[in-house]
Amino acid sequence: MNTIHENSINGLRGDHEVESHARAIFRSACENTDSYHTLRLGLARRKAMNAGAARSRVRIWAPLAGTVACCALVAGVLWMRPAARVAPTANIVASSAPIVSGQQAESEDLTPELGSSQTEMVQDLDFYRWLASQPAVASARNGGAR
Amino acid sequence: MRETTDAESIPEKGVAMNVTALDAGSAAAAVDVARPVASTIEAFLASVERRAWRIAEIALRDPDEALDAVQDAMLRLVKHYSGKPAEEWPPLFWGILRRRITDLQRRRTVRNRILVWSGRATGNEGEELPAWEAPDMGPDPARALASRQAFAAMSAAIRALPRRQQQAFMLRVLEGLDVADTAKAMGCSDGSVKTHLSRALDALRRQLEDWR
Repeated sequence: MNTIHENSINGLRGDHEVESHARAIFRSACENTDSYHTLRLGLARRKAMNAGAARSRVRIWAPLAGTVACCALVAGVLWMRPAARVAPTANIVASSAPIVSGQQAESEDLTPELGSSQTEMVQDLDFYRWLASQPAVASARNGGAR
Repeated sequence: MRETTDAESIPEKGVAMNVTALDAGSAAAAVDVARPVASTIEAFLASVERRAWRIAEIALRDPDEALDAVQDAMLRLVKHYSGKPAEEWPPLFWGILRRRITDLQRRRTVRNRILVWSGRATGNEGEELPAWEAPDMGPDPARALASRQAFAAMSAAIRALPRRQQQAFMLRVLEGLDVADTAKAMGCSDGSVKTHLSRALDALRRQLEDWR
């Protein structure tokens, strides 16, 4: 049992020694990085930061541009709407045109059905009104009625 | 070979004193590694870039590819996660970098297979070209050389580990993330991290002498 414990302790000591030794070597290597690679690392960092800044600018402007585009679209739709209203009216007029012409056709159709005497009557309406107001004619009507 | 895979389950009654001493040592090491949380993402990247590059270099064995991987990780972190709280940046960054490194390793494997299949493989992954090294401006060249050699030996030892053990060791030991953050970065459970780390330490302990 003691042997196992001793081995474990030695193992832990060994692990700790490995860790500390590896860290020391690694730290030394990092501190002794040559100037060429240090410079290139700095440039890489600067490039990453610039890319991040550009992305954040896009993040700010993209919603704004989207909002402006939406507003322009809505304005365009509103501007086009009166024209859209005119168009249906024109259509209505166009569609109602045959109706009007139909009415005219109807009146034209009706006119020939009236007799020629009735047409003269319509034309001399004032004369017939005057005639009806004459007493002789009125008495004749009353006598006739008896 | 150790009896258990989880280093934290080893302490028992009979060894309480020694284990306490070791825990204190671990705590000291943890304090040594613990880093303040950066207030801005640029400060965070500035604080982590060298370590990230070194870790990517260990994994990829190519400084330029490592640089590309770190740059990609930085870009992704800034683009997608800069709005997150600062405490979440380390696991996010290391998770992104880990995935990027894995992608590059897989791509390289596929490329090598294609080269082998087409009969154009060099067998040494292009290492026939002389590697450019910056002139050493340090005050103590001998010490810097020893440091480079130790780092190269450690890198080779780490690269010999299975990929998940490499990741657990580099994130937990070299970067100093805690178990929870390492698990987040690796996309696995805390227990898996401990298991991978324990196995990695077990393998590396045997090679410790080579690093000295």
